[in-house]
Amino acid sequence: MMRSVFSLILICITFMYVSAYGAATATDKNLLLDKEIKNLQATYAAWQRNDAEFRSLREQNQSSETDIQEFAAFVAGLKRQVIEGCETVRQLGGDGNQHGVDCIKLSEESGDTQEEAPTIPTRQKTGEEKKNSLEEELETLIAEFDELMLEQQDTFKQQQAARQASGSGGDGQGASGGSEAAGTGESGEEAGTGEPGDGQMPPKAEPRSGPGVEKQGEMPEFEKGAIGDGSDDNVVARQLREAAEAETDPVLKAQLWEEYKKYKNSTR
Amino acid sequence: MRAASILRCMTVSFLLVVLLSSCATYRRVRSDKEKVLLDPAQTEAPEALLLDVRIPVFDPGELPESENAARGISEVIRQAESKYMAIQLKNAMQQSGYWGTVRVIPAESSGDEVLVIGRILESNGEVLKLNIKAFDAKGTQWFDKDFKGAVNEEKYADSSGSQVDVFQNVYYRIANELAKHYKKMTPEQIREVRRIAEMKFAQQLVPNAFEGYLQKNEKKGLYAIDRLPAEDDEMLARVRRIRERDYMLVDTLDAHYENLNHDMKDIYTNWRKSRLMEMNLIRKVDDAKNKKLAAGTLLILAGIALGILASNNEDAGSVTGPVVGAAIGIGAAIILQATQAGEETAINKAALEELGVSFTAEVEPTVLKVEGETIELTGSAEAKYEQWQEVLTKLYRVETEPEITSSEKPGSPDHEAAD
Repeated sequence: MMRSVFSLILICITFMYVSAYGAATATDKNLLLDKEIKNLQATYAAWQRNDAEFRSLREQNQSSETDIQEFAAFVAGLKRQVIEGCETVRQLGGDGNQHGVDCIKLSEESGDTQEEAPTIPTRQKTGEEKKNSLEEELETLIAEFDELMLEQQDTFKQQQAARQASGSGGDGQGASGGSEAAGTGESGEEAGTGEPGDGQMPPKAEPRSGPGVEKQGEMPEFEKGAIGDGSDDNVVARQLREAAEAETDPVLKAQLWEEYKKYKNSTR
Repeated sequence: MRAASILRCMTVSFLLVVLLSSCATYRRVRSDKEKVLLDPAQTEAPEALLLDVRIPVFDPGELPESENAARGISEVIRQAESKYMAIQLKNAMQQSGYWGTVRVIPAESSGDEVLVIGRILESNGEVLKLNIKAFDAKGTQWFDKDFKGAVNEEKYADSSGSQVDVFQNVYYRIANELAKHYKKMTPEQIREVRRIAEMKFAQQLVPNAFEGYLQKNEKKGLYAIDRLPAEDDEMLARVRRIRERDYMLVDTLDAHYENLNHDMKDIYTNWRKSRLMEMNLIRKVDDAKNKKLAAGTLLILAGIALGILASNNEDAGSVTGPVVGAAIGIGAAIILQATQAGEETAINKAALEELGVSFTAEVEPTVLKVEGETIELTGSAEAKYEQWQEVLTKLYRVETEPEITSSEKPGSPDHEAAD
């Protein structure tokens, strides 16, 4: 009997403790959400103000290049904070759109409708939203494909390394090297070797002009190597990337790429 | 009368000698005396005027019908050769400098600017005969020709340790033939081929969006451009992005074949070389055997002729009798010796067979590995292409149908498609 009563008391205590903890956690979460929304609102307002000011300055074209660079870096940083803030609020169960922050517009600007976060579920999607959603789906599929190709390339690199380690990979000669060509006057067959390096990855499809050419999202040449192909982007990184790609002002565009790089480094 | 009998006898003996001499397991082949030089591009063409070439792995062709010719050759070997030879041709074409990217692929696909299709007609280590057809995206057949080359043991010895294939002459001839056709094209024709290739790729990916851009002359099988989308067309931009992925896929597939080339090159060359040596050994034994058969037959026939002569001359009968007997006897002995030499040939034939079995066992895992990898990769890519097709088709609908239709009719296909 005593044992049963004791067990009952224990259960009650545990239940009360868990309820209190749950309530506290929920309260904490709400507090955190409120705080994040306030931060987001403030950042959003600052970004709107500064973005408009920046564009106005650019139109006037009176400021020094250094000032413009610094201002662009500031605006790009704010935009990154807004994108991150929208995502944080969403993760906490909130919706920036209901608090004066146009997270949808931001997503649209960057070609991302946040598929994972249906912001206004009851509203019918407009044609533009549908298009954006499909564009996002296409991007995801392309990213998946790129990932598959990257895996293959990694495998080739490993195979090449294994060959070199075993001492059999050193016979690679450039595909374009030393052709045994008419008029060259070379007599030995070896002079005509030009077999692509065995065990090496073939050159990737060379970028070409004319039909079939991808402009690589107008990404600056120097950035391509540094920031990768975006196949491992998360929601925020992808929005930043798209924002950078969509930006028409070259200075702000460069700064947005910079923000993208910083963000990617911070998530690694 | 007597003279006629002797003449008849001599004619029969001559025919017999010829017949026996031609009784060879492997006929002798004259190897290429001249070295074919590759015709190189004299100037670097602008990228817009380069054509990409894709070479599907060659058709392995049929194994020889004759038992001797087919000895030691298997379907697995032909499968390996079909990939190896495509890579050799690719390398020759790349060296020439006339082309954009040249890649080996598992099978022909849409969007190829130039397609080179090969079929193995003969390959035994001594002779290589290929049938090659080349087409451009327009559908024009550049040529359909057989290319043949023959090598000897010295050629293998000379190219020992070299990266050059012993049949480089054949690949250079093909590369030169392709270059000859490319050089005849005007810049406008080249651009047209590139545009048609792009449109064919686009049409396959999003048929609705690119319908009517190309016209096909069903009779001639030739494509022509009817109109083109604007350069800033959104759908075209998407198709180009996906085409870049197609290039990546093709690069990756090609890398698999390059790996196979690397893995089998040495063992394949050794097999071909050993096979040719065995064939030459058989030829030597055949030659010796045939000579003995001819000599033995001649002796027997000479003995018979002498016997005929002696039968008409009673005086000579007592003298020629033993001579005739000896000639026939020695002739028979020589023929017997020749048939014993045939057993030696059987040993070489078995060695030839063994070489084939051994090489097949060695190369089969490599071939299967590459085939498995390329099938897996192609399968994954095909699945992705289907998904791309689906999304692009939905995008096309969303972009082309009026807003009111897609937003106010929840049950419409558009609505479902976009959601």
